[in-house]
Amino acid sequence: MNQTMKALRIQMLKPGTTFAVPWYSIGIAIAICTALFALISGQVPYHSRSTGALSAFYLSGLGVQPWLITQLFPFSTALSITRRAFVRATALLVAAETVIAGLGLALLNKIEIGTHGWFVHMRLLDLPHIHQNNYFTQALVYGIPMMALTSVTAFVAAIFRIFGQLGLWLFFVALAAVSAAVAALLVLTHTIGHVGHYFGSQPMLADFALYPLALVVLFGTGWAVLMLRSRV
Amino acid sequence: MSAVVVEDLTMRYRGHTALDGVSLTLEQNTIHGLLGRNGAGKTTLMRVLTGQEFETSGRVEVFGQPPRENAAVLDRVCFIRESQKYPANFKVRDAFAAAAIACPNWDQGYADRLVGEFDLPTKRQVKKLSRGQLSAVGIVIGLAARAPLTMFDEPYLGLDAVARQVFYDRLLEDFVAHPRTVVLSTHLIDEVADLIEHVVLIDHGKVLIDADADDLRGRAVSVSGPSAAVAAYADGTPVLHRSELGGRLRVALPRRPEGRAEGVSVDSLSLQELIVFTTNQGDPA
Repeated sequence: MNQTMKALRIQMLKPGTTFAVPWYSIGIAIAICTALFALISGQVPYHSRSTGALSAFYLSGLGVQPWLITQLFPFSTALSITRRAFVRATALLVAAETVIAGLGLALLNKIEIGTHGWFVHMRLLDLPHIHQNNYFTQALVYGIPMMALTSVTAFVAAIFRIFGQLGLWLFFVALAAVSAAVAALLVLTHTIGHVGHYFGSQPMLADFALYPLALVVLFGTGWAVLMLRSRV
Repeated sequence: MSAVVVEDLTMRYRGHTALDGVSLTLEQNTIHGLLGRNGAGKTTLMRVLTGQEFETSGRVEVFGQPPRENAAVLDRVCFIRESQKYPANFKVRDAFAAAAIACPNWDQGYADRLVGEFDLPTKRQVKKLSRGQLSAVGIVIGLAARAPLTMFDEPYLGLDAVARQVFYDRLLEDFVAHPRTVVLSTHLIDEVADLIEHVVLIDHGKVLIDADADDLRGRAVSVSGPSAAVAAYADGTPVLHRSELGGRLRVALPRRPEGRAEGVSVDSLSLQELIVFTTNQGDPA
């Protein structure tokens, strides 16, 4: 067995941590929202029965990468797993999580449509601004943002692992400064409206799959470089 | 082929020189004692040997190859650290399952036996273990991994004397049955004195002693008796340590003087005394 597969198997020793948390969350979210809409069914018109509970799926997955990087990485390297193998294994894990998240949420979306909104006309997954007619493009719209969020949290966790709290603080200060500078530039040059119009006029697949994929490349590359240079 | 060859290894970080031109060779199938005070550079050396730390300069080879990101080398190495951190949600059995995945020579039957001997609760979360139990988890992994190069960095913290003796006994038994290269970093020199075959003493990032343990034990002596007689006998030999009380003198010498010992008592110096005196003096024996 090569080192990448060893690292992946070690990461999979706790599937409840690496895979299951977002699914518990979405399951609980569906159950709670279904119960709530069943209780207040007469008081809410059908067109107002959308919820933002889908965000629970994405937010609850944010803890996986910090756990992997700050806790499992040093333990794996103590067991003589190379940094490179750990990085490859994590990339494979994230890819698998993305595919499962995309296909799984798209399947739940089909169930939601087929059951007329979980029998209470609720829209939890089939939200109007992310709806796709094709099953696989719908899976992309659900899965790629998950991958982007994972890449960002992995990058931030790697900064914390290598540079500590001060590094993390400096990163967020720098990020805030750059964001403020870009916003000021857009406002001063009266181009902010054009930028908003540009993104608003893009196909939904570009907004929810292509641009998040660019974030994956950017932060994923940064994460891999940091991890390969990391002391244990 | 030697298990480890280090030449002129220097390791600096943030203005601190942790290792300063270290050169040493660790032969295969030997138990090596890596000794020295806190902060001497022992852990840093082991971290470099296992690719966890990157050397600033010098040559490091483990089984003939650089260890840095080298799976072929690291598959043959197991490093148990004093402050080894385990994932917070891992149970003891998860830690052993991970070791079983990572270590090609893992012996599950032997691990189970050691778990019984150390009375480890395998279903308990690692974060709920006592300091001694945590050390025992590391010891079980280090022994059952049967890695061709096994390094223990202060593996006994929190272990009581009985458990420490179990560790020494099992280490020796398993070493005889499955010879491999063991590096044992420890402060409890007297406890391991009969176990180690080769001694490396590091202080302030430099190697002070790199010698066969039997040679050291037979070489260094303690001479005591009337001050004048001891001084005459020890004349011309470097003195590691001297203490005088009421006209009687006791000196520790790195080697037996050539002259005849008349009116003085000459005894072997314990390994611990030799290490302590040499470290305090700061010069190689």
